[in-house]
Amino acid sequence: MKNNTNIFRPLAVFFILIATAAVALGTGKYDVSPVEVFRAFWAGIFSLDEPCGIPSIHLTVIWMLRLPRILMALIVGAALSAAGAVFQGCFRNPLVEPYILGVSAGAAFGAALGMLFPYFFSVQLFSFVFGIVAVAFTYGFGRIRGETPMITLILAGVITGSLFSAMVSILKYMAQDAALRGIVFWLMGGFYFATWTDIGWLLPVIGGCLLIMGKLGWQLNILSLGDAEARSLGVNPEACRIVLIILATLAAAAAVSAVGIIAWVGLMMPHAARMLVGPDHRRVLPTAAAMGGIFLIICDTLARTLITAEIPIGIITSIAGAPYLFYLLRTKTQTSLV
Amino acid sequence: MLVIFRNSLVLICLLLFTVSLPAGRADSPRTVVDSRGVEIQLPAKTQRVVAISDGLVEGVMTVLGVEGKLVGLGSQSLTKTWSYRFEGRDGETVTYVNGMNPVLCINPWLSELPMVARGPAINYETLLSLRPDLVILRLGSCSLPAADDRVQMALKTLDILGLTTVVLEGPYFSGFPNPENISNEIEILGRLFGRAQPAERLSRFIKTQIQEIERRTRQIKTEKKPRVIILGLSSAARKNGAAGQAFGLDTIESYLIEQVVHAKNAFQSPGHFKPVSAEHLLAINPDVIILCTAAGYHPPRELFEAPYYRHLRQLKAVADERVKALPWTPWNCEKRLEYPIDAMVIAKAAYPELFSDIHLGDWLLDFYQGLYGVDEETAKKLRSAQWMDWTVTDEK
Repeated sequence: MKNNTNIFRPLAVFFILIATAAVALGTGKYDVSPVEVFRAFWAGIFSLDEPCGIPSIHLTVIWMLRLPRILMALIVGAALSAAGAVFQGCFRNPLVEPYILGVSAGAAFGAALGMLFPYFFSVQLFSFVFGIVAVAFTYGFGRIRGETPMITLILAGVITGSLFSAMVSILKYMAQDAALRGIVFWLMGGFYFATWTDIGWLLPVIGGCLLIMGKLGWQLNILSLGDAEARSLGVNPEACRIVLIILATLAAAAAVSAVGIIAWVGLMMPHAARMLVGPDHRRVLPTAAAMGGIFLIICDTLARTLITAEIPIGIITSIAGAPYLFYLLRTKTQTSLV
Repeated sequence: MLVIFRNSLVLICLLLFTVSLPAGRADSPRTVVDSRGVEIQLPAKTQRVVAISDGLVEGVMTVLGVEGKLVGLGSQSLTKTWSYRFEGRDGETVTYVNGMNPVLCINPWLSELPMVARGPAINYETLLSLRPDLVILRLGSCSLPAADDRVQMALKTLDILGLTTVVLEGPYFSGFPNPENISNEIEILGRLFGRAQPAERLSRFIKTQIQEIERRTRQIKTEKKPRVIILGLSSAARKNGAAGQAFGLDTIESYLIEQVVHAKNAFQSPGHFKPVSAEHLLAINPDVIILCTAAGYHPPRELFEAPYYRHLRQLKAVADERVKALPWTPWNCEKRLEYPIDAMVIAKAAYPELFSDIHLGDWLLDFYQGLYGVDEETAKKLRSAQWMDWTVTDEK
C-alpha cells in the first residue's frame, strides 16, 4: 500500500507540473484565447509554414515570450530544488541550500564584473565561471590533510561567500550609476530575458546533472546514514560526496548565471518533496525537481501578470518562502528533516 | 470635339492628382534616422505611442502637442507623487509633499497609463496589448541605463515582435556628458511627429538659457572661480558610512559647473554618485554646495539642521550659507528638458553678484512658461512640484 502511494505521488506531481505549465502558457497580459493558445502551440510544434489562419502575433506571444520563460522557470526550479536536496543530503543538514558553498556570491561577482565591463565580459559566462570558482575556493579552503570535514567545508563556504560579497561591494562602489542599477537588478533575479538560446545550453547542462544526480540517489541515502555506515556498506563517502557536490554546484551555477539569484526554492522544495514521498532520495530528487519547476512557473506567472510591468521573482519567492521556513522551524524541529 | 473632351478629362484628372498629392504624402510612410543612425520606416499615422523614458520624451511630446498619443509608459517617475521628510532642529520633522515630475504635473492623466517596464525588464505582453504604432526608447534612462546585452536583447525582441522602435540616446549613454546632446533628441522627436519647427524652437529656447549663463560668466579669471560641489545627501550612502555622494569630472553636472557656469568642480575624481566621507568633504571644503536629488530631495535646511550632518557644519559653504538645492528630479539618470534650471541654480550660487538682477523664483516661472508654453498658474504649480518654492521665500 505504501509503495503504491510512493509511486502515485511523484506521478501526480509530474501531472501537476504539466498542468501548471499549460495554465501558465494560457496566462498573460496579451489576450489570447485558450483555443488560440492550443492552436499556436501545435502549429509551432509541427513547424507549419502557413499555420492555418493563426495570427503571427499569437505565435510570437506563445513561442517567443511565454514558452521560453516557462521552460526556463521549469529548468531553473528543477536545478535549484534538486541541488538543494543533494546538499541537504550530503551535509545531513535540513537548513542547507544550494548557495551554501558560495556559488551565489561567486556568480554575483562574475555578473557584476560583466556589467561593469560589458565590452570585455559576458554577464552569463562570467557569472557561471565565478560560481564554479567560488565553490572550488570553498573546497580548497575546507580541505584539511586530505580530508574535507563537514564543518570546515561549511565554514569555508561562509568565508568564500563573504569574500565574494565584499568584492561585489567593491565593484558596486566603483560602478557608475547605470551599472550599479544593473547589478542590483540582476541580484533580484528574474526570467525577463529568457531566450531559446539560453534554454539551448541550460537544458543539456542542467538536464545532464539532474539525470546523474537521480542515478546517484541511492548513494545519498547511504551518505545520510553517516560516513562510518557508508564505509561499512562499501561506499567511499568522500568521493561520493565530491561527485554529488560538483553536480549540484554545476546545476546551481548554471541556473544562477542564467536568471540571477532566486532564493528559497532550493531550501523549501526538498522538504516539501520529502513530506510527500518520504526520505528516499531516489524519489525525493525527481519529486523535488518537479515541485521546484511548479513553484517557479507559478511565481513567474504571477511576476509577469500581477501588474502591468514586472515584479522581481525574488520578491515573490521570498514572500512564499519566509512563512514556509517559519512553519518548518515551528513544526519540524522535534523530528529529523533529512 | 471628342479629342477636346478627352484632353480636358485627362487635364482634370492630372489636376485632381496634383491637388491630392500633399494629402497623400502626409499619410504615406515616412522615415526618420534615430540616435543610432538607423533609418526607421514610420507608420503612415502614428496614433499610439509607448515611451520608455524618464520624462524627456514625454516632455517634448507635451511641448509638441502630441502627448495625447501616449498609451503606455516605462518609468515610474512619471506616475508617482512623492513626499520627503527629514529631522530638523530640535527633533522637528520637516516634510515636503506632492513632489512630481513636471510632465505629470502638466498631464495628471499620465498616472493612469499602464507601465510596461520595471527597470530593464520590459513586459512585452503588456506592450503588445497596448497595440502601439511606435515605441520610443531613451537609452540612458533609469529603465535602460547601460549599454549592456540586455538593451541589445530588448531591441532584438522589439524587432521580432514587429514593433516600430525609435531609439534615442541620452548624453551619458552616447558617451558625451554634454547636455546639449539633448537637442539632437528633441530634433529627432520633432521629425518623428512631423513637428520639426516647434522642436527646433524648443531646442533653441533651451540653448538660449544656457548661452545667457555662459555669456555672463565667460570672462571670470581662473583664480576667481569658486569651487563648487554637487552633493547628494542620500540616506543610503549615509547608512553605508558616507556623508554624501559627489559628481566627478566626467559628469554632466561637472560640465554645467565648469563649461557653462565657468566655476571649478571641487570634486576632482571621476564618476557620479560617488560616496564621500565627512572627512573627505571637510578636506575638499568647497566654496559652494549644490544639493541634488539623491534617494530623496535634499533642501539646504537638511544640511543646516539635521542632527546627522552636524559634522559638516564647519564646511566653509555651510558656514557662509552658500548652499542651494536643485529641483526635485526623480529618476535623474539622464538630464531632461529642465536642465537649464540646474545651470541657473549653480550660477546664482557661484556668482550671486553677476546674477543679482535675476530673481530665481520669477525666472523659474518665465522658464516653465517658455519651455512648456503654460500659463503663470501652471508655472507656479510646476515650481511647487519641483519643490523650488524656497526660491520665493529665500530671495524676497
